[in-house]
Amino acid sequence: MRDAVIADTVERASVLAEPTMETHRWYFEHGAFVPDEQLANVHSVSDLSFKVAAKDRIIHGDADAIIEQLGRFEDIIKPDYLIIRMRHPGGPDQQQSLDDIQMFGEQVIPRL
Amino acid sequence: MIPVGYYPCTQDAPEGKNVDRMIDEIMAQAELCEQTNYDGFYFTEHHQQADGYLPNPVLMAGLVGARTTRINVGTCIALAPLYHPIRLAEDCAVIDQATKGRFRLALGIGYQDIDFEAFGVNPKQRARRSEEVIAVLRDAWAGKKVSALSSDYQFKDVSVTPTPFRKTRISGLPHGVNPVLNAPRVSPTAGLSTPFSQYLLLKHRLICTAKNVRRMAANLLFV
Repeated sequence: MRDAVIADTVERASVLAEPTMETHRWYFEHGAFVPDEQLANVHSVSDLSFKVAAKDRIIHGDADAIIEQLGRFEDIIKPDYLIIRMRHPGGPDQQQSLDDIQMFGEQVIPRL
Repeated sequence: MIPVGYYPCTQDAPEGKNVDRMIDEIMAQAELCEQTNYDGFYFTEHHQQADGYLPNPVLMAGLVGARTTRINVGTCIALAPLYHPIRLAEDCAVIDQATKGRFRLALGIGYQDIDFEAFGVNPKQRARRSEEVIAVLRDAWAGKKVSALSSDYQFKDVSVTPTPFRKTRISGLPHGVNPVLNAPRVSPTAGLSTPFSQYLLLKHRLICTAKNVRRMAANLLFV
């Protein structure tokens, strides 16, 4: 299971990721972030930036960026199945959610 | 190609005042997933949430199954300790029949106290209860009569009818693993915030212990 933030650029993803980050801050505060080197300098939830949280945890960017990230996923854990979420209580809205579903379904899934 | 499933947000923040509209939106998302190469559409489960978090993923899977013809529908995950195993076995079998074998059940053991409180279940018993549910599902769907004479459930020689449309295959898939399941709390949704490297460790550990539910937390169990 992975969260995905669809955006034209990685920079844009960090802006659009706020609803996703709200959820992940909740996870962090409830002990769901297993410590790793990526979290070495994260001492409290306020240190949890998108850049830190996203690496190896949140799929983000355009189709090419997502393919690259999922390629690592494929190489490392060889998943049998991938389940993604792209919407959170804070957004995006329905139209954007449908656009995201369509982009991922048409531009990413056939290339996996 | 790795099959890709989608799971929707089922929370109508902040106060759950437009749940009917949210369900309409979820149906539209599912129909689009069906048209755009997704393999499945799955629902999660929580209870007593102010934002109206949809509490019944099996029911929702049935609703989406009725609106679609190709994609699999199911749970990711349903909270095993909170179900009477006969009722769960029956409901899943009916949806699987209605959808001509497109139903997939994934189970987890739960982690939020408020979910257990809603059903008067002691969280410390969640591993044992999950094991019992899984044992009943496995036998009932194989057409065997099932019995349970525990402190949790008491029934004897029950036939679950109908059985599912498909011959079922029960297997463990990595989602999250915690070795101390009987502790009052484990890490929630380990799958979502777990980096790749640890996912691999979890996968290996899960394969080693797939028959031992006590060592699996919120793992996926697909049928």
